[in-house]
Amino acid sequence: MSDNIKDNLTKYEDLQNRISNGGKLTQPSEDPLAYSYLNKMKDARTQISQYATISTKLQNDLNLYDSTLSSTAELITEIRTVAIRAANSTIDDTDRQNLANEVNEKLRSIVALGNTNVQGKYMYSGSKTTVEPFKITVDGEKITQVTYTGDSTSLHREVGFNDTMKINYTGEEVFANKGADGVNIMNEIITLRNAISSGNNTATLNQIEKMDNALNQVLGYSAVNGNKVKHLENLSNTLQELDIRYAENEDTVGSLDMATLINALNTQQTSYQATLYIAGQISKVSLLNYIQ
Amino acid sequence: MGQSLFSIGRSSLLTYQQAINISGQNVSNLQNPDYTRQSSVISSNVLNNPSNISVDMSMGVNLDDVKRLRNDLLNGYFRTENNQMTKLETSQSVFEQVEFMFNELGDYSLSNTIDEFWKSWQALQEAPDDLSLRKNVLQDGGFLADSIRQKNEQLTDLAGTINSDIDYEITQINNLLEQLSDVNKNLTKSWIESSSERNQLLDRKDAILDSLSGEMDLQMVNQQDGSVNLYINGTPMFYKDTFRTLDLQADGSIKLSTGEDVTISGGKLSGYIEMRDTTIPKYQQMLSSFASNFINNVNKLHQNGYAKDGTAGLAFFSGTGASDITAAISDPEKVATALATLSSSENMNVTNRTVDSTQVISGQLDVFKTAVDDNGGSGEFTVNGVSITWDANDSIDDIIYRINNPAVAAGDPLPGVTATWNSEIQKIELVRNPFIDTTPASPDITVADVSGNFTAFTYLSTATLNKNAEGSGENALAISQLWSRKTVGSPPSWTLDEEYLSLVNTVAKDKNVLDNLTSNKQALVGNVKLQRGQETTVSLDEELIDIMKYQQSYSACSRLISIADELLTTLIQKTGAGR
Repeated sequence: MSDNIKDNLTKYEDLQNRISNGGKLTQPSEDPLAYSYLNKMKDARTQISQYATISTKLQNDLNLYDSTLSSTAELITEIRTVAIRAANSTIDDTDRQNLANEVNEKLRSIVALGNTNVQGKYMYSGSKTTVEPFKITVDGEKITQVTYTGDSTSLHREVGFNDTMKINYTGEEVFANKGADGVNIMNEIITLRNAISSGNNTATLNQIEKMDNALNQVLGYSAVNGNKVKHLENLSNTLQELDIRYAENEDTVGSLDMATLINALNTQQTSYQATLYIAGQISKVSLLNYIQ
Repeated sequence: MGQSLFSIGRSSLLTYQQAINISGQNVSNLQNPDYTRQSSVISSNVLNNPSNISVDMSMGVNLDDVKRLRNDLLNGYFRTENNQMTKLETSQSVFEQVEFMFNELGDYSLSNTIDEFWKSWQALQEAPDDLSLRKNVLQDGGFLADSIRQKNEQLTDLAGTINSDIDYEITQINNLLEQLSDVNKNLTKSWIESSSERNQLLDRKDAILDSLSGEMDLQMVNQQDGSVNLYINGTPMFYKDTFRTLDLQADGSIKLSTGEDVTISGGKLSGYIEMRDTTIPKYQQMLSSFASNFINNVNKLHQNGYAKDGTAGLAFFSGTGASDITAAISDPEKVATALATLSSSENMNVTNRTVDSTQVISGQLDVFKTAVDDNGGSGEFTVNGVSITWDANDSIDDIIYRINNPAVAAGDPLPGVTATWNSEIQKIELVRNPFIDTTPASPDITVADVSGNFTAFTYLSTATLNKNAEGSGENALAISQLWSRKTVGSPPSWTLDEEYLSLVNTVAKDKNVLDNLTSNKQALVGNVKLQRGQETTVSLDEELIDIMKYQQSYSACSRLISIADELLTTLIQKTGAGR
C-alpha cells in the first residue's frame, strides 16, 4: 500500500513539474528521441540566424556594387554621346578640346567609382583590400595612364547550407577584361580622348565601337550581380520559412499538450486521494472493533 | 481413568497456555518488520505401549513445535531480485548527475559554446584584418577548450566521489558480516532449546541476509543447525571461529581481508563499481574522442593557412583529448585567416605568342607548342610535387580539371589546390585547399616544370605567392565551414557538432533504458515482498481468532479438571474408607 502511495505521489509531482515548464521536455531521459531532435533543430536554427546576418551584410555590399556598376554604365553612355558629337566634322577645335576634357573628367569619375571603398576597404582590389586598385598617372590635367594595383583573387562567403558564393569583382575583371570581347575600359577611354583631342574622326568612330563593348562588359557584370542579389533574396525567404517551421517544431516536439497535462494532473490527484482514503479505511477494519 | 483425565486436563491447560503466549507474541510484534509469524503445532499425545499395541492411551495434547512461517523459496527469490534492483537503483542515482552534466536543454549548453566558436570565425572572414574579431576567435576558442576540459573533470570528480560511497557500503557490509557471524555462533550452540529464542535468532539471520542481498551478491549454504555460510566468488566468509571482511584498496579495487580478489556483480556495491569503472569512463572516452577530432580538424585547417604576420603552420589547439585541450595561440596576429594563392602574373594573351597557334575554340584557349622546347608540344609539371601532364591537344579547361582531379592512386599525395581559369582576365588562379594536406605538409603552392615549359606561357613561374593579403579571409571561411562539413567517421558522415550531440543523446537514451529497467524491477520486488509478507506478516484478525480459540479450549479443558475432580470426589466419598 505504501509503495502505491509513493508511486502516485511521484507521478503527481512529475506532472506538476512538466506543467510549470509549459509542457516542454525538461529531462533528456524522459524522451531521448525528442531530445535528439530538439538538439538538431536548435543547431540548425542557430546556423540559419547566422546566415541571415551574413546575408544582410552581403546584400549591402552587393547593392554598392550594383550602384557603382550602373553609374559606370551611365558614364560610359555619356562618353559615347560626347564621342558622337565630337565625330561630327562640323565642330571647331575649341569645342573639340572641351569635349575631350569632358571625357577626361568622366574618366576620372569612373576611376573614382573603381576606387570605391567602405570604411577603408576597397571593393575592386581583390584580396588587397587596403590598397587602392586604380592609380592614375597625369600630365597636367590629362590622365595618361590608369594602372591596376590590386590582385585577381576571388573572395567567397558561405551564405546558406553548403552554399558558398563569390562575393567580389576585381577591377581587373570589370575594367580590364581580356576575354573574347574584352575591353580595357580605362585605356580605351584614354585613347578616345586622345582621338577627339587630335581630331582623328576615324579613330573616334572606332572608339565608339569600343565604348559599346565596354558598356556590354559593365552591364554583363551588373546582370551577374543582379542574379546574386536575387539568389540571396530567395535564400533569405527559404531560410526564414525553414526557421519558422523549426520554431513550431521546437515548441511541440517532446512537449505535452497543456490541456492533456492538466487533465492528467486532475486524474492523478483523484487517484492519489483515493489511495490515501483506502489506506485509511483499511486500518480501521479490524476484528478489535467487533469483539469486547 | 481419572488419573488420565487429570493428565489430559493438565497437558491441555499447559499446551493452550503456551499457544496463547505464542499468539500473544505474534500480536505484540505486529509492527516489527523483521518478525516472522510463528504458529503453534499442537498434536495429540499418544503413550507408546509396545507390549499392548491395541491399547490406545491418550494423554492429552502436546505443543510439538512452534513453526516459523517463512517460505525459503520466496526468500531466495526476493534476495536475488533485490540484489539486482538495488544495483539498478544505485546506478540510477549516480546517473542522474551524469544526465545533468549533459543536459543541453538547460541554460548552459556546450553545443552553444561550440556554435559561438564557429560564429566568431564567420565574423572574422568578413574583416580578417579586424583586431577585435581576431581576439574574439581566440577568446571563444579558449572558452570552448576550458568548457570541454571542465566537463571531463566533472566526470572524473564524480567517479572519485563514488569511491567514498563504496567505502561506506563496505563498512555497512562488514558490519552486517560481523552481526551474522554472531548469530551463527549463537545458533550452533545446542543449548538454545527454546523454540522461541531460536526463532528470534532465525529472524535476525533473515533480516541480515535481506540487507546483505541489497549490498552485494552472495551464495548461501544453509547448515542443519540453522546457521548459514556465505561464499563470495567461492571463498567462504565464515571459517574457523572468525570471518573475512571486505577491504577497499587504494586503487579502488576490492579484496577480501585475507587477500583474495573479489568481483561483485550485484547489489549497491556493483552498481557503484559499474558506474565508476565502466559507464563514466565510457562517456569520458566519447568526450575525448570528440575533443581529439575537434583539435585535429581545426588544427589541420589552421596549419594550412597564413597568419597576419606571415607565419604559417601554427596549431590553434594543443592537447590530444578532453583532458588537456587548450588554445595554443594568444597573439591575435597569429590567427591564420588567409590562404596562399598563386595566379598568373600576366595575362595569357594569345597575341603575344611567338609560337604556332591554333584557333580559339568557343572561348577556350588551346595549348600550343612552344618554340623553346620542341618536343611535340607536350610536357609535365608539378603542383606541390604532384605530377600533371599536358599536350597540345589539351584545352586549358582540361588542364585545370587535371589539377583539380589528379590521376593518382588512393592514398597518394595530392596537390592540395583548387584551380580556376578566369577567362575574363585570362589568368590561372590556384588557391590552397586547406582541407587537403600536401606531402610534405605545407601551406604554400609550388609549381615547377619537369618538361615542356608549361609555366612559361602560363606565367606561373614569374608569379609571387600571395600569402597574407589583408582582405583574404578564405581560411577563416574554411574553418567556419567545419560547422556543417562532415568530417567524422570513415567515410566521413557526421559533423563535429553531430558527434557531440550523439554523445549527449547516448546519455539520454542509456538513462531512459535504465529508468525503465529500474521501475520494472521495483514493481517485481514489490510484488515478491507482498507475497512473502502474506505468509510472514502478522494478521491481527487471525491472531485474535486463534487467541479466542485457545482461550475457549483452555476454558473447556479446565472444565475437564473440575469434572475429573468431581468424579474422584464422588468415587472417594461414595466408596472409600471413612464412610
